[in-house]
Amino acid sequence: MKNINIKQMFLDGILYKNPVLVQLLGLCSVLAVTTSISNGIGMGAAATVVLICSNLLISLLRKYIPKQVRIAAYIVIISGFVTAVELLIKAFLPALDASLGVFIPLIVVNCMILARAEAFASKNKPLPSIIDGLAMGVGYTVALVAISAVRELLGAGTLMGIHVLPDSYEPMLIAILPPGGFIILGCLIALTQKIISSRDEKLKSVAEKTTAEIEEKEAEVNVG
Amino acid sequence: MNSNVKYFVRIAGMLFLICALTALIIAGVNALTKDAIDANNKAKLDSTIEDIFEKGVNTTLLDIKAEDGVTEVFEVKSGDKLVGYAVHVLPVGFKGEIEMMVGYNTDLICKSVRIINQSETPGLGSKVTGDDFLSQFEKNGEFTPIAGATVSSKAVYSGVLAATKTLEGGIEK
Repeated sequence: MKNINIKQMFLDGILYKNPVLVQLLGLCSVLAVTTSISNGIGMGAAATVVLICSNLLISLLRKYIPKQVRIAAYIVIISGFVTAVELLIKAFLPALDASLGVFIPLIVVNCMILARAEAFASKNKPLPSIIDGLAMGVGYTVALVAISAVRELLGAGTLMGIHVLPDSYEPMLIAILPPGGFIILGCLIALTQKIISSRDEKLKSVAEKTTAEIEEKEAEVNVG
Repeated sequence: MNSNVKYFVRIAGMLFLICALTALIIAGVNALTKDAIDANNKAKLDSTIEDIFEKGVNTTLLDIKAEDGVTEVFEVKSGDKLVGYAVHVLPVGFKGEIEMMVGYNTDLICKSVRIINQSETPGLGSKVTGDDFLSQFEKNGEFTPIAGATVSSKAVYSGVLAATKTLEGGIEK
């Protein structure tokens, strides 16, 4: 039985295998949505819920879906499920539809959902699949909030709609438009790589130090 | 040969089953939710009309030849007295349709414009929802688009034009 390390799964989701900044999944909707922090949070929340449910569904059905047609099956199941949920929200939760309704069609075509179904949910039991969905969803939301914070600040001078920069600041409109989005996304991807590699450097040096100490002790034992 | 056919039939059959079940579920949910969704949409339009005129007005759908983008024309009454008209119009903006309601007085003069739904560029085209921009439709004068959001502004303008044209074509003053 595969042991699941929850802490590692969350570390992977938020940093080492962040769906946006490392795996580069679902970038079209990322660029479209990250024009304000509130949009980023909304999209992140909606995508996380969909990801958890789709991971659970695919994991429950994994023994019945033939390997040869699995991608087609995943697409049908996921988009069917999201469509049904969208109809239910529009009918019985109009307030939720008003705030998050626009994001739902964007999530159906988000490759992150399909990627996690293929890479994880189809090969693991339901409970680990739920945790993977949550971890990746949290990482997705963190990435979205980071990108939208930069874009909203530079492009509108506000954070969560509140003016933080002085009125004399001339908003950099390109930050809200796609070209600016690409550039800012690129910078954040580079920053993430720097953080990951510096952690790897630290871990490597700790490992080397420990190995050196062990070899020293062994030498002492052998001589003594 | 026989086992090959069985193999394909099994796989294709499974995929067919998955698609059929999913389609059935969506059809079921659609049937379940259709009435509630229609009611919600109507409530949204009604509350916008009440916003333009006053609370408690009732609306009747009129059957008039509609210009481009106009979907519904309502006669707005307070009790039995006619207070004006409301036109539901959806001009095409920069990124999709801008859903708006244009209110008119009984003499077909534009009373107020309200944006119900839009997905224009945030911070630019989305400014068309602001009072600064919309209030210009309540007075006679030159139309001023928002700087940096010409397409969105012109879309709202064309929506008001289409609404006015529809009303003038169908209602006798």
